[in-house]
Amino acid sequence: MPSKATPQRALKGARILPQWVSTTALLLPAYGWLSLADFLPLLTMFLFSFMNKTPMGKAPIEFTLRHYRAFIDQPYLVKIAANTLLMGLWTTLTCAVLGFLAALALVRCTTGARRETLLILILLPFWTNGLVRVFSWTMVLRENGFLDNLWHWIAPTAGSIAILYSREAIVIGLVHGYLPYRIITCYIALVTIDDAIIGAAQSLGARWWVILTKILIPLAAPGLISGAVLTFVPVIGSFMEPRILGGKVGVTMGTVIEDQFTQAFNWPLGASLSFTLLAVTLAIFATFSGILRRGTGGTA
Amino acid sequence: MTRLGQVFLGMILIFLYTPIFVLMAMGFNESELYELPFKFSTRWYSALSTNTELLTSGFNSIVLAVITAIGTLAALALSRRTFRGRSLLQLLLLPPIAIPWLITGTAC
Repeated sequence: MPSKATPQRALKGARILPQWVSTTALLLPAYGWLSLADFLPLLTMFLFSFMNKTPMGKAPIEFTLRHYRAFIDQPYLVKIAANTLLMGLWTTLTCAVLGFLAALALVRCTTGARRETLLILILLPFWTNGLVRVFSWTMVLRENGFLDNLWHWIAPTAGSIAILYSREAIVIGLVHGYLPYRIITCYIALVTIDDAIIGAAQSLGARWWVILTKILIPLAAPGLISGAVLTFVPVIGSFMEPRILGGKVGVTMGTVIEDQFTQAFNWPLGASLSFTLLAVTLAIFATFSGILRRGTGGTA
Repeated sequence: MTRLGQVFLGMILIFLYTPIFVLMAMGFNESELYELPFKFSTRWYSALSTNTELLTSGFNSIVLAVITAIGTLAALALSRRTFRGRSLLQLLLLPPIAIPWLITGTAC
């Protein structure tokens, strides 16, 4: 990476264009696209969330706050929200542990070409379509599916181990979706840690858990945290995995919101629920970033 | 210790690839509904090669994937430059991830 330009080139660059021009040029395509494809629709949805009904046809629209009272008016939503947060927590935690260990194994137990091959192999599943992956999990996890058949082949007399349509199945599907991503973020965080630091700790007699908790985790913290946030946030809004792998137990905020749009045709309620979810997410995020700022000395 | 790490990575790969391989195998299965026992057939692949609708949508997906490169440009600016409003722009990236994509799609 040419992070430092030679003096000559820097001079030349400065003569042609002031820096703000290039910064704007870099930002404009992405944020222009986001404005058109994300911010504008989200603003429209925010407006919808205050309407008394879906703005279709000629019936007059009234503005109301009642959809934001849904959690008070329909107490079952609180339970669903709690389940959703729990699902997010389990997925994030499983991904964090597996992702960190896998990244650690990559950094410490592999080298050179083998490591590169492993990294590509870990990334490849990430390139397959999410919906298709979820459906293939149904084939693996269902009764008389791949795993069940394998189990019966090993232990013919044992009962079925099919776990399709359970919370575990949902978490498995979600972990499968986000794990490659987590391994890569943890790997990037860990690979930048200087080997000499660990060598120094070892030569001074530090045990492995001291190295883990005093060196590796604190130094990798920013990467671990951003990875955790970027798993947790989409997971609690997910609806595909809960619906397909969870069956009857797969009722989450994501599926409730999806229902409002596709089945109940109550866009305002769906919109207000998702903005409530966004507010909760932002609150969690803000709390954590505050704690972490203190914990890691202002670098997070 | 090295051995243990490698075994662990192997297990992770098995976990990641089980559904993918099952899926690949099912592409060659005669049944429409993932039925077992497995019966080999290439009828789905021959159906694919004549389905122009699917081929066009595949091409559209490639175009969209290339467009996401504009995200890389923004990432460059956000990481290498300091300017006013940088943290606001970063914060603005969160809602599109947090709001279920179906909703954004409906609103469009």
